[in-house]
Amino acid sequence: MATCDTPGVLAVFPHGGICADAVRAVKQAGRTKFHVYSPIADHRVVAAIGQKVSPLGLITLAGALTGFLSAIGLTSYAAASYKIVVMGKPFLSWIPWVVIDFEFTILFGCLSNFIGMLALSGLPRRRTTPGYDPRFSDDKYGIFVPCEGVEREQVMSLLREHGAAEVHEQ
Amino acid sequence: MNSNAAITANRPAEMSGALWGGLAALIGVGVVGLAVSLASDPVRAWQAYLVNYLFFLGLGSGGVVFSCALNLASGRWGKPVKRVAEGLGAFLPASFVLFLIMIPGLRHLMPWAKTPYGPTWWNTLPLLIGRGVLVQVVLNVLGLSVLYTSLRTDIGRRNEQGGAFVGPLHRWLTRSWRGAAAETAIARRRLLILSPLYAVAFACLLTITAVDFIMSLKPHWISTLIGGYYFACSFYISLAALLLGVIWSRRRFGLGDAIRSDHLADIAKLTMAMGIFSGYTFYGQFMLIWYGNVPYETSFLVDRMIDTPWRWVGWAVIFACFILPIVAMLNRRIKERSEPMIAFGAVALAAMWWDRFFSVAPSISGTKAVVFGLPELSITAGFFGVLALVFVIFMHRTPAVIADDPVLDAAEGHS
Amino acid sequence: MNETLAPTAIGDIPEEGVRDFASVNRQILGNIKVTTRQWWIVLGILIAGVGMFLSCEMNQFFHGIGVDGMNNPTFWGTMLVNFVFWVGIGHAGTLISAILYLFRAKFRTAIARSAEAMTVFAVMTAGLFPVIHLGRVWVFYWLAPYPNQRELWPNFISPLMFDFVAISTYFTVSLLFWFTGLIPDLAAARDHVPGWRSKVYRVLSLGWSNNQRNWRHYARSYLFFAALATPLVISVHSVVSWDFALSIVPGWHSTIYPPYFVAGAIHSGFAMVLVLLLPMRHFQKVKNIITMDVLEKMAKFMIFTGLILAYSYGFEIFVGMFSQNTFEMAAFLKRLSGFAAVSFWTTALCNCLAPVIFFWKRARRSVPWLFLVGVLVNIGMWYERYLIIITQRQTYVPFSWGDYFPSANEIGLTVGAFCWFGMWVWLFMRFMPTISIVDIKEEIPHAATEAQHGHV
Repeated sequence: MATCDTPGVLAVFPHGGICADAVRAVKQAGRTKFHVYSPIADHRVVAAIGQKVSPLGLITLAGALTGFLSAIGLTSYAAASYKIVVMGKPFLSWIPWVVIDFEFTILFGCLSNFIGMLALSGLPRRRTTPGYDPRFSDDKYGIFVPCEGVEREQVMSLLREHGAAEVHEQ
Repeated sequence: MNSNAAITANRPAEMSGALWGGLAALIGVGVVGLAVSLASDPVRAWQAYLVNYLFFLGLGSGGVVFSCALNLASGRWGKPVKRVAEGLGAFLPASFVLFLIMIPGLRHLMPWAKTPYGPTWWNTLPLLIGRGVLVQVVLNVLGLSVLYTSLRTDIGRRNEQGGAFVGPLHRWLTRSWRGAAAETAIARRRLLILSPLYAVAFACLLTITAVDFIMSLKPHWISTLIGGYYFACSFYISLAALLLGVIWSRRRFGLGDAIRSDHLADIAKLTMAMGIFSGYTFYGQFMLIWYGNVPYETSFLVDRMIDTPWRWVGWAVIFACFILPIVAMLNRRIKERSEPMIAFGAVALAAMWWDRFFSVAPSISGTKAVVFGLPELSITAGFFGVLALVFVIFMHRTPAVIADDPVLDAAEGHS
Repeated sequence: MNETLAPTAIGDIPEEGVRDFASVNRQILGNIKVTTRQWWIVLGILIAGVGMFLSCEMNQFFHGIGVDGMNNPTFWGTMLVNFVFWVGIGHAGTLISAILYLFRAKFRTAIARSAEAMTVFAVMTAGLFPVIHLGRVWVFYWLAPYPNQRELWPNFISPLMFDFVAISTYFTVSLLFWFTGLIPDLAAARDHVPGWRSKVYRVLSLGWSNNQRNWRHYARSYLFFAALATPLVISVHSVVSWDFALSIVPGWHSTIYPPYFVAGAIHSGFAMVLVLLLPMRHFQKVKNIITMDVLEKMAKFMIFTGLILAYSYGFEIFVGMFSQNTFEMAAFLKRLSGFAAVSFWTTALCNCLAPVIFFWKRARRSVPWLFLVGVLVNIGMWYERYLIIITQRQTYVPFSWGDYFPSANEIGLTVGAFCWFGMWVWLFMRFMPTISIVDIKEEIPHAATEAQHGHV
């Protein structure tokens, strides 16, 4: 797999528990920018990384509200722009329009959820992120720490200490 | 197995005199209220009684449905709160007695008793009473069997491990005890047969109740979803009551370890989902009747939503029952704390009581005014006192948290 | 539980179940391999079926909808039956992926991906029929919300507009939900499936890198999809039911239609999932993932939905008789013993009686019984829509009474729709991971994988 040309150190771990320990060590060493690769969203690794909850919820909620208001706007405008009495029902019949409002809410919510997820994840991208190894979609975990020159030795030994099965320079 | 106050206590708890007194007083208020209002306005008195009967029957029978649903879905998450749900179900025998008390009032209540309408093979007083008794008998037999099986296994196994459940009721529950392994196997088989039976019975019997006490009150009015609406709302009511009951039990018996905030959040989510579903059944009827504009159907809605004072009740009920929970529950953290959940449960219960009132009263008493006062409040207090008394006695006399559940412990379902 | 697992060859089944991540990849991705001759033959047959579908549609295109038997008084024949049938089938997929996800039901993991795919393809099939049944298919765009040449918008109060909005929403949401779940698995396919296909998977997987940023947002996204799709499932088939219920035809105008249709949709959807998955698990050798326990739970679910249908049939008839309304009573008496009796009793027996066999554990865990009941329920549910749409034609006015039998063109379209659906399912099973690799890996307990690496 083609990877970006960022110099750094890649460590491969056999499973999530060891990887989580290593992540904690890397964080303690003061590193803030590093990639952690895992075949699943392992909760131990997530806890070790300590990221805040994704803001995707707000994006989805905003999308859903937009959908709701758009539906009300669309249905009301369509009915008011050419007033024909159909079946004796009032022009602005909100009661059946609850269905349309609901569907638009869900539709816009899902669209903003999908687009939001892609945008927040930085997808789509032409290549995988630096340090990616095909084994990370199989059964291995990994940490890629961007660093240059002298630092590399330190990082490599830190990662080896914390259970890395392999350590490569890139 | 977790170690906590209730499990290690292994004996019935003591009920305080204040609790006895308070609940007895509530029941007393109810009795007096009923007697006084019967003397002055029997129709209004029996109407209030009927509303409460419908509300509390749904609440009690719905509690057992929760327990059965956990059995059928192998929902191990619900094990710590199952006993509270069963406690709600302990109201069933009381509801039978309360129905029997209502029998003399039925000829005042049923509009078709005064002016016959509807099918003669259904709308007669003897058949109505017969159906009501049938509903109660089947619910009680099946529901109490579920409770019996669950209690027997739990108490018997605790007694084997040094428990002190030795009262007359406990001895009767655990008579001819065959040993933990054999009893658990028998209980498991029995519960797996009783649970679907009870759930089906719940749906069908509450449908019959809804046909009799909501649908037949309005001449020529029909709605095929009336049964679904009634039992969906009843399950919603019982979940809201479960929420309150769980919070109370947790505090009273010190169950903080066994019943954690995520259990509370799960019940709250389930309640909210059921609330939305009940709202959906409400909307299904409302929108369809409004849209079709067919006179024999719209009569029901016209009484309640067009140019009558009842429409304020209608909108308030829709808002408080079905919309407020959605908005209030979007926040995750709110569901894990007791105080907001007490507020939510109380509002849901009050609003659903008004929904029952709204379904029944305009058909019986007409639509000129919303008549709500001391008779309704006192009779409601009485019913609530009966429910609370039965529930509290049950929770004190039985282990508040199930230690060994014959179905959930064996299951590899979801935790 | 702690035996080390030697690397397995593609397609080998470790009989003890799924043990480690690598074997999951190998087993599931092993099915995306070189296509066999038999596969091409079946694909050829399915494409021929689609060709028949197209030629029937061309026949109707040039000769008018009369060739479908659409004429006074029958305006909704088997076209609508097929539409409702296929939309209903789609619902099981969303229920399994979304609702069972929220209820944390573990048995869903093995079947969710295939069920979601089935949903997308079923909605694609369903969407054909509202267009076909117009006759003048080229004016289908009139339903879209835009002001026409006379500045007239569509009437949003109409249930057919609800349908348009709901079905397009359902298709979009199902597609996005399915695709989102697929992204990590497509990345795995990109990494481990050799050849030209790897490039296709690379494009489809959008550069997914299995890093913490990806997972953080993916997990939340999936949860929100599930939370949004759950009410959508209920609402879409309710909207379809309102196509009928919002009329004033006796037998159609019934408040129970929304939950009754939703229960029926789930019933037919589960039956179709069984019919598809039983052969799939055999031929793709995934019996250790789609285990008998999973199938048993599906069977139990079908008892539940079958009971809801039985309640609905029974209570509708009761209320019809209770109403003492001449037209309502006639509508339901003809179901019990009138000209609709054959349809009604076939429906009732297939939908409600057939799943009763699942009360017996041996039937629940027997592949032939599961398959048979799946087929019977599919027949029953198709017939139920026939019962509702065709037999309820006998409305107030004698002009609308009469007999109806599908024309040859309609039968061609119906069978062709099955071939169209089957073609997409067939392609999916060959080219996409049919089981969610990531979800299965998440189910493997940490202890099992770590024991192999000597970690406590």
